[in-house]
Amino acid sequence: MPTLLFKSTFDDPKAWLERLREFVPDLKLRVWPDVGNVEEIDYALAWKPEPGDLARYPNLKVILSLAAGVDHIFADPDLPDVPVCRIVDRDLIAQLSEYILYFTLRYHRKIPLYEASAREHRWAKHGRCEAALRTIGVLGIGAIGGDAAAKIAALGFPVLGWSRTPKSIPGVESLCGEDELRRIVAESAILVCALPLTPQTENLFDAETLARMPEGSYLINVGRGRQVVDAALIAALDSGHIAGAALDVFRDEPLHADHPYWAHSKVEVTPHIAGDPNPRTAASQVAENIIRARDGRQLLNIVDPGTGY
Amino acid sequence: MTVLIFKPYSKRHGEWRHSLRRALPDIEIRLYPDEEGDPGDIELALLWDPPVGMLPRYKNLKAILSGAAGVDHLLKVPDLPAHVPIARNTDPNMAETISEYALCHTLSYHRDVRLFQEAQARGEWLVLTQKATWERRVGILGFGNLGQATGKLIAGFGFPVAGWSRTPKAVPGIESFTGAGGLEPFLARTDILVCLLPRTPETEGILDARAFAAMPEGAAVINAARGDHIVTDDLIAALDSGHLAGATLDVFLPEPLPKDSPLWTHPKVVMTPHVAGISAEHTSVPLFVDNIRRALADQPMLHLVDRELGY
Repeated sequence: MPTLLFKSTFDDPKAWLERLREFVPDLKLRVWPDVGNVEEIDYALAWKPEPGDLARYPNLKVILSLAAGVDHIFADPDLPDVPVCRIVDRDLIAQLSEYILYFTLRYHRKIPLYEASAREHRWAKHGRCEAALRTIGVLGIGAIGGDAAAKIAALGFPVLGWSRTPKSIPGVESLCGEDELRRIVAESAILVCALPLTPQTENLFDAETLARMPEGSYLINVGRGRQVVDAALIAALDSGHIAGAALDVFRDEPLHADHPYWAHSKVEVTPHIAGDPNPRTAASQVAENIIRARDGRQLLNIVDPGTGY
Repeated sequence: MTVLIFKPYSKRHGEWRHSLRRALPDIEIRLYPDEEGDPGDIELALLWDPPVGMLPRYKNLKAILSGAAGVDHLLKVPDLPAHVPIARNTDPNMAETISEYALCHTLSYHRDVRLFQEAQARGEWLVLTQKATWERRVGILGFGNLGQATGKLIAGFGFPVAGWSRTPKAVPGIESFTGAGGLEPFLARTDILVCLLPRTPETEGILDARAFAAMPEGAAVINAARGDHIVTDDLIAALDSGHLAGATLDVFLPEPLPKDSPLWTHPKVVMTPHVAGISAEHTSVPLFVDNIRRALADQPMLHLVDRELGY
């Protein structure tokens, strides 16, 4: 009987089991830490597994990330040598694009300034800027960032997209490599980070990168918290160089109660909700990979351990 | 030389006049009121919100061009010359910016932005279940030029969209409701309402206690049309009772919104000072020029206003 280990303190195991059983009726679920006999675990569906834990299951065949990113799995130094798959779900992608688009439009249409005026009962127009005159940059134009970039471009914004390898997305100028990273950072009025966390992207937003962003620009981070050097971002916001930041991801989640982001007037904190893998829509591909693993077929959305995504 | 009177309605009227001059070298453009000169010279008027007494003096007026999409600012003037045709401004930039505004605030309600802002103020890591777009029904009240552009944009994100208008409108993928009989069923299926109606005697106060009660619990209202469409006291009551989750208001009665209005700081209201739709010089001027040429050639202008209907 196929047995799946479920490890997440954020997701509801019951909802996942119900949906997974629609595809794999005989699936058995063990909810961590009640793992039972470790030899019986075939698959693991995990968000932030404890380091070393996955090495305890001698018959583990595949690790299924309970997210689009897999950095939370590769952070384990004792990770067993089995394939790791990520979720590439249309609905998850659509959700992330909605989030990115909302905050892009929020900054484009100066909603934070109007919120501040309203608090002062002040009827003040803050000037207009046409979409065609505001360059939006998207770092990471894979499945997620690419979808958001195309949707932003469709609204008439000039869009720059940066990724490790060149991409072809209608309306998006594709950039790659170090030099072009400097260009997208220097030219984007609103910069979106949708990058996977890898050694190359860790601490990308340090004081130097932030200083190269245009005066009065905005940052939207849906990548990973460890891509932003928090103290550098706060300094750039306090100096006024960066006008605002919408942050959905943090170094430690939940964000620590005394973290300065909570009370910062230029930071919009959201609790890692930009893309929430939902069992209703994402369970079918998780189930598909369980079936493929059971039948010894090629897995979907398998991660290249070399690039980390 | 034919004379056009231009009553400025934008801070950048200098640029507008420059564009008009370049496109219409054979027409003299005078700014109201300083350059008016002899009122008998004036054959064309481009304006917003004329004062009483302005237009009747132009005995040779052939055409009135509204600077705005709505023409309530003209039709409310008691001495509006009866037989002069009026053309609306159908600037595509207006449709683009209004639909962008509506999309922004639709996404805000869809993604519970206010709840996360309040949670941030409390320092709370709030866990909510996100609805899918197909579970969030958007209704466009007023389904003409602006409403259809907005409906199509929002439908493209997967939201089920319906439009309500006086007469039926066939837009693929968008459900159409019409007339007084269609209003309640339209409101009953609408989680996020976007009001883009013209202001007419029929639409004044259309969003009242009864309309809000017809909407589902937790619905939200976005008004980018005219302040007259909403009965403010009824809106505040519906927000305070918890029946409505929020309102985004770009238009008010009167404008600017008085300092003592409760709307400024109501926790469930987002307000902007009439900035949702922006008409741009480079997209408006070609439409004005086309209509001016038609008027001078005694041909009917495009986008003529029906004074009975009010748009």
